[in-house]
Amino acid sequence: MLPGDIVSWILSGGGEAVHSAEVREALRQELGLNDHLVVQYGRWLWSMVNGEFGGRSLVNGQPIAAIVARQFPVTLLLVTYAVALSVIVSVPLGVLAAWKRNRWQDYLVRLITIPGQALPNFWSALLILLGLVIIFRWSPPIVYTSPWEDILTHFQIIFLPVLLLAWEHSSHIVRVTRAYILEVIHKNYILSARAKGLSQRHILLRHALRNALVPIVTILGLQLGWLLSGTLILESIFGLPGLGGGLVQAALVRDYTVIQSLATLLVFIMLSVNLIIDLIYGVIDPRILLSPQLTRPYTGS
Amino acid sequence: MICAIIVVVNLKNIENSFSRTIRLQNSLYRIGAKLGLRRLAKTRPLVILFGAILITIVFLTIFADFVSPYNPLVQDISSRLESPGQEFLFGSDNFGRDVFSRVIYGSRSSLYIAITSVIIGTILGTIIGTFSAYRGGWVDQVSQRGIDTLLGFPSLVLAIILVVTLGSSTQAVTIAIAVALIPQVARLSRAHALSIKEEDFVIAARSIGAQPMSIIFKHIIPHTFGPIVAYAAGYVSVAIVVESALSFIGLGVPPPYPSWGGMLQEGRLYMEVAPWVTIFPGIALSVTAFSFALLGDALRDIFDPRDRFYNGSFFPSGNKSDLKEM
Repeated sequence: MLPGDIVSWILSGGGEAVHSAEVREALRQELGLNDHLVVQYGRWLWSMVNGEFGGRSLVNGQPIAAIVARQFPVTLLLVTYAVALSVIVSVPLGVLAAWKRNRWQDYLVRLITIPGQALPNFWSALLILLGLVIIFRWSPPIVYTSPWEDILTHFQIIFLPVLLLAWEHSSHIVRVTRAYILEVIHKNYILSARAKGLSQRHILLRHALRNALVPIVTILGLQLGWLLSGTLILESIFGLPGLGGGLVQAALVRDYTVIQSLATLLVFIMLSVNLIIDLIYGVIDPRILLSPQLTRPYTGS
Repeated sequence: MICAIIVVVNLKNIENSFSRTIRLQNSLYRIGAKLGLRRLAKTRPLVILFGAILITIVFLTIFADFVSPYNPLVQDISSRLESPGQEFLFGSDNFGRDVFSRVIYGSRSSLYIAITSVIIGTILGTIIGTFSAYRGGWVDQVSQRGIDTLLGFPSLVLAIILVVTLGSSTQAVTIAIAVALIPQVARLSRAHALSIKEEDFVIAARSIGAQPMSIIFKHIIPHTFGPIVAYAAGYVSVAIVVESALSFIGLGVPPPYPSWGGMLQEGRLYMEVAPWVTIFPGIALSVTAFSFALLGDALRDIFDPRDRFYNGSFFPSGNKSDLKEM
């Protein structure tokens, strides 16, 4: 019914081979592909609930729960590192750029952030790999090791994808931080803080940054979709056995059950981070909790 | 007598065409004034530079048949992986195909898919968003929850799922990217339509008994379309990147047809011996995506100044006042 039939893929092993209609039909029956779509969907939904995460892979019969148990920690670590790194680096950079506006520090920050936004991450990944090989004669290890086994090798393989993801992610945060600090710096409370004789550093960090935090956190959530999209490609390039790379592999062989489950998990990651962000709003700006509508500020235009 | 009539008719014709020319000139001038080209050149020279690059790329894409020195599909094993030089401007790839020709033809699939999908996505998204804003009530609720669901997916994941379902072909990729764009455009146009909906002219139109459809298409959409088109130019850049990402993974334009993402994927294996196979399509991809992003940015500044703080514009506008910056 759908193009790119899984049955012919399994039977041919990727190559061209002709099989009789009976063999194909038997395999379809075995995989449960002949049931009505609603039945198939119901079976998948039930298996998501009872902990099987969508049953088994159509291609090699592995239980999807095992695939997920193997891949989920990798992606979770990757995303956590990337978000943490981009927050740690980008907020200070944004403050610096706003503070030294139109001086060389500002231009330097802009020089770093523009390629981060403009270059597609798979292209910069290839460039960096090429540069490493040509200049240092070094390329990252191919086999993934978890941080509990060997932390050094773990960081050797995961460092570059984290750096690329964080570069792209933080470029947006830096720009929003800079723009908002420049906006709030004209407010009256900054003027009064200055009139009290507070130092520039104190004003920027305590008064300006605090008030610019809400849009910064918002852009963090808005850009998360791109971060997760980035994991698909970077995990494939760097050979990380995560959800993203797994989803791409499954998509290439039309392994529908695996695609469904992994995509659901990626959406789950996205929604949970957005939920956390919604909760953070109340912490960084208590006024939001008092407003009659508990809606996310600044997202609608 | 007949002569006189002919002369009069001719004169009238000339007068008509003359006034038409003036009107055309006037409207062109007005467009120029609205776009503020001169001001743009002064405040953001990069936009002009990349605009010129963009025009060149579009030109090369249209006239690819005349510009490219070789057929992008013809293989010649005797000249495989040759370095850039006299014979092959950008070198040749693993099958001896000219990289320069393939880059030029690759722009065809990239631009075609990106622009078509953005047009489809923008039109459908605008209609859905405006309609749900105008009707309100349960229609609005249902469509907004649907859009929420789509927005929960990272764009590339949604595009991959759609391509897997539709099969990988140029049409499938176009539809996949269009569907990934629809929720974002719908959100935007809904927000704009909600404010336009309350304007007096809409109430006046409703009070004389205009049909809802005619109000939506004749009164609301013309007012919201400017900002949406500005965003659409930026979305073209996103669509180009998503398309090449799909081709890079192997789910986009099927080989042997050249596409930038696919070329990056093919050249990856020979990166150390023949870096030019990956470098040139990558440059073409980055420059094109960047130019469209910059164009969208400039248009957004002109049409929708409220929104310049969000969604990461590329450059500060260069205005001297702090408030207007970025």
